Amino acid sequence: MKKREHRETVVAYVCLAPALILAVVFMIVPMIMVFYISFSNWDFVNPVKNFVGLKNYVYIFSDEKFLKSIRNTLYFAGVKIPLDLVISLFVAVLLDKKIRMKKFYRVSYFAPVVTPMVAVALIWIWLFDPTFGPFNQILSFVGLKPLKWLYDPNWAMPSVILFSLWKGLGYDIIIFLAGLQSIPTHLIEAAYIDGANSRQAFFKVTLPLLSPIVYFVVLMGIINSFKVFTQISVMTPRGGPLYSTGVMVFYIYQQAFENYRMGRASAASLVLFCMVIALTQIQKRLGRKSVEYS
Amino acid sequence: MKRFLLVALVVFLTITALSVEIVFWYPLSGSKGQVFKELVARFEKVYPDVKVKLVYTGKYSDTAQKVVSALATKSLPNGGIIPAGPIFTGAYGNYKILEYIESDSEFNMSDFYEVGWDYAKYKGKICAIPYNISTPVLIYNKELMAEAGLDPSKPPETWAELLEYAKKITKDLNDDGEPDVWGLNIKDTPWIFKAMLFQNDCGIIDSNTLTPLFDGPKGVEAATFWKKLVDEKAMPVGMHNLADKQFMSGTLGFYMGSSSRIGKWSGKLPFEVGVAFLPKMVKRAIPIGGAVLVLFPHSKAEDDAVWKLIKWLVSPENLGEFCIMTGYIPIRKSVLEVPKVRKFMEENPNYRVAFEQMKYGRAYWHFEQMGTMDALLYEYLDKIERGVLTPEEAMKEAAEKLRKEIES
Repeated sequence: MKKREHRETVVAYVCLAPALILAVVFMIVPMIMVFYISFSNWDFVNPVKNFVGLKNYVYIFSDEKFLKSIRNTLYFAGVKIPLDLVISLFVAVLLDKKIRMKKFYRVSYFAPVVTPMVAVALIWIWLFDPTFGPFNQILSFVGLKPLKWLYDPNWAMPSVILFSLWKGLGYDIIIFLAGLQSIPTHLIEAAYIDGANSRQAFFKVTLPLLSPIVYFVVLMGIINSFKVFTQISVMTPRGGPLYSTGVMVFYIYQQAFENYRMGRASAASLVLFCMVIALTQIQKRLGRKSVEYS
Repeated sequence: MKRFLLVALVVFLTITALSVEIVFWYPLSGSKGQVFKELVARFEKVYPDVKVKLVYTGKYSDTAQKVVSALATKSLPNGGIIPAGPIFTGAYGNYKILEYIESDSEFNMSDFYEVGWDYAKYKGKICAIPYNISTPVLIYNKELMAEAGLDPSKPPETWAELLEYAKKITKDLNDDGEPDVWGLNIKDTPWIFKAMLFQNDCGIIDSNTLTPLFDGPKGVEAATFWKKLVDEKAMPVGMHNLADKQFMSGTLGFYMGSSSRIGKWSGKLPFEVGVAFLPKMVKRAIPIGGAVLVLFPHSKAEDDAVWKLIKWLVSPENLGEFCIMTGYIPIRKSVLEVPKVRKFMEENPNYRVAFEQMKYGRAYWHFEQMGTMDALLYEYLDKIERGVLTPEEAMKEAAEKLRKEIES
């Protein structure tokens, strides 16, 4: 009996090995390396990594661009996550109703999610064009003053957020749809029988039952928003007007591959890592109180 | 029969043993990449003992990144067309190519423009060979010039004239307070600003001590003129990424950017395109840019093969053909004497401008913080244009930051 158990363990490890080895080589080791490099002055040109203590951390925290990149990241996440949550839930509820051409709507909301980021970002640059772009034509049609969108320090970030919302909406809609369809109809029917109107049924029955889904969407939202990079780099090269769209990952990229300062880049990565860990922990605490499982 | 087979085998084995395979990286895409591939294919026919494995490495920034990781992992190719090449060779003590240049009596160094060699140096020593070089040029829309009452055959000679002409072209068509046709736009702001500095007799960086020189009165003067360009509505604020689009749509009078646009636009746009030297301030000067040929030492046989390839690529005839087909600027004087090139310049006067401008070329030796310097210039020109800092404050701050970066 014991021998068989032992053999099973061995088999389990052998089966896990390919995944484990990959994870160790490409994730765990680099993570430890980042920690180590963040205390060194490695710059690619010099193969020697000298220990410099907290110098990189002192540098990034006194660099106005890094502090701005933290603010920009919080701005992006703070505006995008709530909007994304409300809009995708709203659309999911609508798509859950018995409407015509439901499949067509589902496909059209999901299409942006599967199209390559760079390709659609390039198209949106054209949409945002201050002279010929359709967005400005709509604005002038409604009688509003045209905007400079990506070329205005105040509007560059909202423009990127608008694009990112459109790009990511479909994913959250699908998650919410799955959640909505897993709610047993008899619970909602019971609420109606007890005299609830549709708004009460939604807020008192559907939403509490959806809370694990909301929790998941917010968690993924935080992680994805903090590591936003591609659209920033494509739509607003060099961090946009007055660095108004320079987010943390973009700052890390610049330090590593423009300035060849791996130490600073690693230090900034660790700060980002700690921020995401802290936020998810806070969310976990809050979630424990409010998430209900049926 | 058996004997024949044996002989054939021996011959085959000796050929394989004698032939060398080298890995060569290049960052040219599309038709430019095709031209380069064909050139190398021809080289292989002339030298059957060398096999060249060409690897496309993406655009300049991607290629530089790949070299960086190859350096860290010791998986460098034998050579390549590498942007910022001297930083990846000279900085590591790799001056191998200089040994070849000096020991090969067939190689005529003095035929290259001096500025090309400056561009291929690290700490004053040659460690690369200039290859695909571009210069900034002034490209203009002749129709818009004529509409503004200017003579399209007389492009501006000085920056003051350019400002005056550009102001005449800028127009607000729909009265929304925002001009729709602009006089001037500059694609690569750090590059053109460096041209302005050189032209104002202001150094950019002291090559020996690596001290930034652009925060002196002459640099501030250039920055002040830059501000004037936006203040007087000759140039839009911060919309430099749109310059290409604006020019192609016929809503931009003067475009300043890489000479590589000449081939893309001449005769292909619905209006007539003119090309001129960059205007001057106190003198003419053109900062050159591009990528260089480098050699990463491996074995003697492989290095010899790389040198063979490099020498072949920069021979006047082959270089001439490369330049005609791609629009890069010849870095050897004798290329302009090649009959094919002469004919090409006669037929394409717009290219002639870019080719001839090379004599005003200026460059500084490569140094590690070059990219940082350009990023800083971009950032602070943006701040000047948007009025966040005065030209003087901006130049002082940018130079100070660069100084700190170089020291640390």
